[in-house]
Amino acid sequence: MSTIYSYVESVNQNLICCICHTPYVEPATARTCTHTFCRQCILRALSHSPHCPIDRSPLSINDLTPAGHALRSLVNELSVGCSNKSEGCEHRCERQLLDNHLRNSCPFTLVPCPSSQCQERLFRKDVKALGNSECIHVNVECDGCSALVQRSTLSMHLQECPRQDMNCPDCHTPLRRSELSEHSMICPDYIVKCHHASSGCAWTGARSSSSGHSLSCPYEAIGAFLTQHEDHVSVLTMENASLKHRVASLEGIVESFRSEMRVVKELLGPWTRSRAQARPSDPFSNLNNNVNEPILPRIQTGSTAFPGEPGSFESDFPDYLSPVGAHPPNQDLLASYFPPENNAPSGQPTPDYRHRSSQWLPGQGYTQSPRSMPHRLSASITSPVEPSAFMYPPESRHLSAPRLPQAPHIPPVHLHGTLEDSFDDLRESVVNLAATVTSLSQNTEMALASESLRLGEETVSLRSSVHGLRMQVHGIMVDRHAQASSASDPGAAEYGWLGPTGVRPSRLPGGATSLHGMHASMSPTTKL
Amino acid sequence: MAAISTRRLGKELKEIHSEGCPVGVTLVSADNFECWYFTIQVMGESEYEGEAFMLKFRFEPTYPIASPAVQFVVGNGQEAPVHPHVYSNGHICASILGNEWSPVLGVISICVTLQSMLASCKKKERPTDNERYVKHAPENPKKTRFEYHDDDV
Repeated sequence: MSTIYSYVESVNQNLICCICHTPYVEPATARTCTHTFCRQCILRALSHSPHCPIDRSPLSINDLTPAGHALRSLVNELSVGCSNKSEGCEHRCERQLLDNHLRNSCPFTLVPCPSSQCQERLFRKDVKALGNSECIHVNVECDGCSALVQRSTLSMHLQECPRQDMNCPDCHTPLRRSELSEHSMICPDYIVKCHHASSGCAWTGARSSSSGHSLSCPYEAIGAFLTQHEDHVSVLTMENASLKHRVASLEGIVESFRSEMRVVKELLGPWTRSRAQARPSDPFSNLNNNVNEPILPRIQTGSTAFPGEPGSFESDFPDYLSPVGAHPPNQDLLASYFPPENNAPSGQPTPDYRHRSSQWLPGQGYTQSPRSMPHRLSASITSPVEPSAFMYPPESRHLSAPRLPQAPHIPPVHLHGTLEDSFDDLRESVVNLAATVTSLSQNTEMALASESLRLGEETVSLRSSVHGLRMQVHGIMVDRHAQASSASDPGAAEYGWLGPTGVRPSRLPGGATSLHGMHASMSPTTKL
Repeated sequence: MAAISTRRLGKELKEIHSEGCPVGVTLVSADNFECWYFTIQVMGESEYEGEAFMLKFRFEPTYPIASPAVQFVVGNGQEAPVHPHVYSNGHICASILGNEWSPVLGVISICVTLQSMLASCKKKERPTDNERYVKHAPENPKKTRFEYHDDDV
């Protein structure tokens, strides 16, 4: 194998073998195609395939010839580093001279041990240093630890032999290497730090003089204070740690409260403002604010998903907190359920809420869909105030029903007030409603009583008329009967038909005529 | 002798690091001198536009005298290109990887050759004997004796 060269400078590409990609070594040129390769490279390639690697033309070993003198000189004179560079040789030379350097002069070339008995190899420089005295590969005994050590490594061994005698580097007391660490704990000349070094004393000196330093050490005077201080600091540190822990847990609780609060605010909607922030304003001013369409869907889904980040708590409800600013869109949404103040019925007894509902609804979407939920709700609210239509037929209402009391004033729910105010308003409405219902029932009772009185009188007069009629009929029947019995056989009178009144019915001369007569006689009574 | 392939591959790797790979070729890993991975993409308009394939090179100690074993990686999300000269197990039927290998060639020149092989493809299809070959194919494509019948590559 040829030597692996390490070229010092970059090499011209024309001197590079295309097989090994390094400068030619013993360049060989093919006679047939004039391609040049390293001798070793082309021999290997030809053994694999008898073709020129570059143009694939047939090629054999016999076609190879050493490259021209100029090319060989060029590659031979390339500057290379010594191949023992890793061992320490910094020698550089022409490539053709490297072999000579390695063989004869490189101090890092391994050469056989000069001793004739020894088979070991060593650097040429070591042989020179040794002279021709003795073989360095013989094992010798260490004087201190009596271990067998090769002569070549004896000096290194002595540097670390634990039994080696030495002097303490500080007090120069003779001792063995193995005792050194133990000795340094008590050595009077060992360099130590002041025992207040942790507090800041920069003094260092021999151990023997440290007691003298203690007298003058400024930290010694406040030593007690420092100790106390350190204790204090450690106590405070522990306390601080526990406080931090508590603060962290409290923060967690506050965070959960916040989220709960947010849920509550979402549920309460516009009533979340405090009393101070609540200020009444014209509900119609809200109508202009309902253009906040982007917020509207947010509110509708707000009960399930909370918009905004947990941290930006206030920013979630900017509308509730701003005193004069835009009212929350919830208000507009809810306003459709409650009539605004100005629309409240004040003069009319039965206001047509159905017709007006479209005016209350602020959102354009609601006005265009009159059958939506809020509309129907508003209708149901108004129904109790017009009950007369269901209780009295139209005629009797004209005749005897008393005039309905004025419909009570129903104030709208103040969405911009506090929840308490709203409850008060609602309660007031309920009270009004109850009063209305009471007066209504009284009126109804009165009307009922007078009507029944009238009906009773009528019944009595009817009864007397019927009685008079009956007596009249009875008289007629008796007359008829008497006439009939006197005209025909008298026996029939004994076995004759007796009516329910115990009077014999008169014999009818012609049914049709008698009926006519009866009918005619009865007709005036109906006029009673 | 290991030294030949090691020195030659060391040179090639140094060149790749100093001069970079050709367009569409990327070195994935070259942690040792036995197995390297590259990805190749066909640049410009071709049947394989937007596709990337991974190539696995295995070197014998006699490289570059002996050709490297080159195949497409199949598995781990990698697929062999559908090509009349590429079997579905990733083996490539290309003469330069077999009897037409020349020590003058190198890793990068193989990549470029395969790139142009894919680029010149007219119709994406597997070799006609794909199933039969894949069933009996050796693990190392170098152990296959391909018959090279297409001169287009």
